[in-house]
Amino acid sequence: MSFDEYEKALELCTYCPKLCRHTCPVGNAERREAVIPQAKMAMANLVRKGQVELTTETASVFYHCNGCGLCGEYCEHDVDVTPALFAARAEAVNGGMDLPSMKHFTDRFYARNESLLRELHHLVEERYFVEEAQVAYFPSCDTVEHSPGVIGDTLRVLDSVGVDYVALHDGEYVCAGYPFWAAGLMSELSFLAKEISAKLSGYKKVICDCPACVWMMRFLYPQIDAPISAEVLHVVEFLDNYARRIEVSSTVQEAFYHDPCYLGRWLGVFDAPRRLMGRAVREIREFSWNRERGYCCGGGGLLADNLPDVSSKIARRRMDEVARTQVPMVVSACATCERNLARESGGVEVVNLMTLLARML
Amino acid sequence: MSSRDNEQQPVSAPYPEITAQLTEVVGAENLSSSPVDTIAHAVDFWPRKLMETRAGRWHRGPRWVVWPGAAAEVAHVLRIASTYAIPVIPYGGGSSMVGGASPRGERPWLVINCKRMCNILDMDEGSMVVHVQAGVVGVELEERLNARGFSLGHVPTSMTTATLGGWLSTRSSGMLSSRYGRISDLCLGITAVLPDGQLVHTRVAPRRATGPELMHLLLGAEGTLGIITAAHLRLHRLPLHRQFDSFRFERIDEAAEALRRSITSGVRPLVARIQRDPRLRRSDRDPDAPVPDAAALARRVLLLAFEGPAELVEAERGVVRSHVAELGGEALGQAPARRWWGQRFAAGFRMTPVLVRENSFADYVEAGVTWAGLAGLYRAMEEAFASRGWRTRLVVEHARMEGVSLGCAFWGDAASPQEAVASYDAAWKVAQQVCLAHGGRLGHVYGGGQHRAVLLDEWGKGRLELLTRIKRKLDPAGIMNPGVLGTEP
Amino acid sequence: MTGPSTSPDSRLASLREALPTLRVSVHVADRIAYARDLWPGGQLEKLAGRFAPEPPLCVVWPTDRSELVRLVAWARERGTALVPFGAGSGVCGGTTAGAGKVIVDLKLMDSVVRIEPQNNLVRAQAGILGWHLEDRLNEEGLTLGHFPSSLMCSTLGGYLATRSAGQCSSMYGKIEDMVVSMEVVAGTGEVIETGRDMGGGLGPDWTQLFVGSEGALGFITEGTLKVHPAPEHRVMHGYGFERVSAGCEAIRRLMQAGLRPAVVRLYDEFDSVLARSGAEKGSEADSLLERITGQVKGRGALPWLKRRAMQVALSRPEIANRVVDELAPMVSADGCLCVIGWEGDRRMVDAQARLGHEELMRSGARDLGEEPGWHWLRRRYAVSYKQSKLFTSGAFVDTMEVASTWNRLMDLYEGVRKAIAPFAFVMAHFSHAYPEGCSIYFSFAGSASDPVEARMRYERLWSAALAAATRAGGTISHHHGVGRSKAHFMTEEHGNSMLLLRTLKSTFDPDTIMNPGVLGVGASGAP
Repeated sequence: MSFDEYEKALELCTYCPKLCRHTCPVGNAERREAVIPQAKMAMANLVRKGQVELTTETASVFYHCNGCGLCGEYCEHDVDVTPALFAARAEAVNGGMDLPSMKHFTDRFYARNESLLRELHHLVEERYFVEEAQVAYFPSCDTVEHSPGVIGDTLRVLDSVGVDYVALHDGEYVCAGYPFWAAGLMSELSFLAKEISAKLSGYKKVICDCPACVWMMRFLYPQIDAPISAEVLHVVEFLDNYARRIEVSSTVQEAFYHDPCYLGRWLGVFDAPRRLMGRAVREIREFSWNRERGYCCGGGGLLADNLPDVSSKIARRRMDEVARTQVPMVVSACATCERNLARESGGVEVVNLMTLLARML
Repeated sequence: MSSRDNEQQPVSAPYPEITAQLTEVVGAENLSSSPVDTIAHAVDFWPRKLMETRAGRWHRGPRWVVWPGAAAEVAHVLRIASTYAIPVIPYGGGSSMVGGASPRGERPWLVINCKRMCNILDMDEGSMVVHVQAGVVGVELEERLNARGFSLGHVPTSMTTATLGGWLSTRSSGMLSSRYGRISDLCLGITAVLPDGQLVHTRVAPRRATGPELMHLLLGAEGTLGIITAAHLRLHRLPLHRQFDSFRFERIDEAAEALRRSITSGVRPLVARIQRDPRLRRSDRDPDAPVPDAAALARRVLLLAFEGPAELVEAERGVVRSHVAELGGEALGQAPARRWWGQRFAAGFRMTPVLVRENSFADYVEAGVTWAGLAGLYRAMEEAFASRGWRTRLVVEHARMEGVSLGCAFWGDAASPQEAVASYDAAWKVAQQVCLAHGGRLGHVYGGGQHRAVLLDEWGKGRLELLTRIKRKLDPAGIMNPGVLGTEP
Repeated sequence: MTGPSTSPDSRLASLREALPTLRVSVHVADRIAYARDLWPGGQLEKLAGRFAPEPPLCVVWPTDRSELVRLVAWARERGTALVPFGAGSGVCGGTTAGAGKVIVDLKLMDSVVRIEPQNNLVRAQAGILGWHLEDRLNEEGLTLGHFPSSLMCSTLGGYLATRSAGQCSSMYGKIEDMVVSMEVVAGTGEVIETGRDMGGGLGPDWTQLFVGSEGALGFITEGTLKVHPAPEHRVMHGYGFERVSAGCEAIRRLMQAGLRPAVVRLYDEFDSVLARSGAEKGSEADSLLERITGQVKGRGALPWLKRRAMQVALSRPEIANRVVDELAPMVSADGCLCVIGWEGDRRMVDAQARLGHEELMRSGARDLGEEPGWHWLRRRYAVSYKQSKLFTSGAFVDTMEVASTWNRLMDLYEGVRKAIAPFAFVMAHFSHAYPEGCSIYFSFAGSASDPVEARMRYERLWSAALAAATRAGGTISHHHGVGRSKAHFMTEEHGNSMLLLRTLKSTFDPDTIMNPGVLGVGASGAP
């Protein structure tokens, strides 16, 4: 996954007439030519070729990416911008030219992990943590921190459809390492991935409420020598098999469904959440950018940490579309999305699919 | 006017010398200072001037009238005029209703009558483009085109009097504008002579992206920047098929909405007009006819004509009929619209019989308005004129995607010549106020001349100020139709 | 006036002092990203490592007209040139920075001010991307009907500044046909609303005098445009013609029959091969020349053989063009492909599609069925992707869009083709048809042994092609604009009516601070 592996992609982008620029949430939010995918890739290419010196200034544009991958949907060359720019961040880290806001990132990561682990054990009764289970539930950091109710709600919904064999994974981590990948900290990621992989491989199935974690474990881990033998599924994918068994006592008239980038575009899960949502919502409203072309909430790529204003603007753009209708609710299936969209909700309720289902039981 | 009037003026210019120079350019037979000609060029068709004439006021004519035969001669003439700072009026049919082609003030005017330049220079039938001199009278051009199976598709009521140059200079709009656009939409390029005698020729292309479309500096400039001597125009084939439809609605609102929806659907009617129920006119004339009640007075008819391939015409009629049905319109068949078509030039003859009456006044106000504003403006205009005892006839025409134009012929009788002029001025003032209050844009069909420039709102005046700035550069001596469109007199 | 000789630092300081709230960047990434637009001549320089030879003084992002007005006042005072910038996707060097100039990015002014469905109008700010504007209109069941292949990477302001055309121009018109009024902040600092929603007012049509002004007269900041109901129905169809001239004749008759197709595209013998090729996204290599050479060499050619053939074709275009001339009848067994599309109200579409079909069949078309039409529609934005592949393979690729009345069209086609042939591989399609004429869109690709020679070849090609276009009585640009790359041909294009353009320039930009050099005016102005 070194920088040079992306040579072809970087070259193609350098001479591309900016054909995906309209998709880039960061470009749209900043309106700055230097941060559209084409220009970020061109800058990475200039740095790669040594035509421009790697400095904190030149490297800074690599961090203006929310990792959503929407640009790729409009690329006829099948260029993947996200991994290329994350690799460019790794170059910046190696050259000591990463963003000042990235300092002590590893320390902060583990500190947060510790505190959220404690939080998790406060949150869920100990009896739910089981060492050995057929299906393990791996709760994610943003869920624990920002949507703690989702964990209980998920267990209740599973319970209601007769799935009582899911247990909470009693591990040491609440994150599969997406932040390390996005920060360009590949050796840290490698260490973490191997740890998690070793722990989770004991299960038959692992379900997780974070789409990015699922994508990491399913697709990135094998590439960095940390494959997990268990089948890793997003909660929504797992529950989809029992969708018909969900009995609700009431329904919501209408709500938008927001495709989380990693659940939708990256994992290809579009219909399952809509089927589940259909149990509780009479009319599912679609965003004009939806499914494969779902528009990011602004929460990916460490954007909310490094460029919070840009992240907020991205969320606002998404919520502006809701505001133009009278629809009072947006449903998603990712705690990061919910957190980011809720910051710009303008009075519209942003709710996790599991919470909505639990509420309607 | 007599030559004695001019001799009373303090003269700085050597008139005999100018006359000699002009004669050398156009030939003695194409120059005149004879009262026969200067009187004929003293007034155009601005009703206010006609009313003054009726009251016995004698209008001063130009000092010279010349009839150049080619653009090169126009160039010579303008160079002479520039040299001596002689104000020039480019003259076509003299049918301006706003004083665009009549001398004003005490200066020695030179009228350049363009009507000798009336030839078709080239006809590209394959591209359906004609290159024609601008002095040609509208109907003459149309007849010559018809003989070859084509039509210009520009049919204003001034068809029989106005010249192509006049239309281009005022960006005229005709009764077929819903389908073919205004004259500027039909124009692909022009040849013009600038005040310093330079000839400019804008190249012809169906469309292009090589900067601003420069002919637009002269189109609509009403002769203040130069004289258009020739133009390339888009043509249409004479129609194989023409059909009519007429519908009656209870109110203007539904009639307008039916038309709006039709245009929005992509229908391009040849003619689309909303006017008073023609049955009312019969009751006007027949003393035994029952007095129409309020509901009858409120009714409006939508008259439509279509042309083009038969199958497309039928599709367009089908679209219109479905919109009409949704809005509760009543189909009246082809006849009323066909009848209007047969009398389509009649409107041009209606004003004169009124104006020959002593102390009468009459004119035609016209305002652009968006669809959303139409019904409101329509009613306000009707009420404003009726409440003052002035007669009106309103018609909605020139339908486009974003709106229409509301025409309002008004007339009345006053007690004295002075009152007639006062009422005339008041009527325009009222029209202006109603437009300002209801989103109407006063006037866009036949230019501004001397008359309407003063009635403009801030925006309109601002646009004319831009023109004045351009004029100072292109016409530093200020000779081109000064005083028209708010330019310095 | 302090004059342009003052140092960049002092000018920046004075800018920040004059407009303390203005967003200003001298970030190296910005100075690189804004240094060039997509003029292929610039792309060639990038290839040679000159990615930003003359970066701008700075980039600024005004947020409203009053900030722009103050910016213009500052620029006049300091004698600093301003370059209006939308999305930087122009292909004629219209937004090339140039040392010391200030790039004015208008994308913070990107609101849809209002949509008036009743009046079929939208008012939007210039900085909005075309795609986003169309998105918003679609939400309301409307469409602008403007679909340039740059829809994703160009702004409304860019369209208005260059007289842009979209793929459905035959029905909805070019942008100058759609625009009803614009707000302009002129080089004098005055704010001008050029038109009115109904009735352009008295005097000249100022909208038509500012649309296409390429920033040489001022900033276009807002526009009011006509919108249409999103089409409820669409018919697409493909036709074949033996020769391109027969296809042109058929289109002429179609357009003169009073019909308004949304899409009219006729590919010449060589372009047809490309247009017909079945490559959907994700299928095998689809580079323009690979396809052509693949056709010439046979479909089974190995990739390396194709690559070799491509190199030969690019370095010896005169041979390749001759070969293709010879092979054309064989290469294109189906002859020239013609795609016709209709959209809008179902009844109108059906009637027009039937009439159009009859007209084309009468003109000798072969009925290729619906599929070529739908294929084109699915791939309508695909062509631009070929650029980067060609550039990265060391070739140059560019396009030239000319237009003329029908009587000159074949001369124009042959003339320009012959002019380009010695320098590059050339193909063409005819789109944007009107009753009185049509545009021709030439695509060409060439290469040379090194970047310097490539650049020379590219320059000579353009001079020859532009000369040929004017000689044949065509216009040098139908919808890309003039920018700086064609500026030296403006006199050939306009003759002495350039005088009128210079008058507009001196009236609205007396200090030549507005994008000097574009349109061949104001070149000697401020840096």
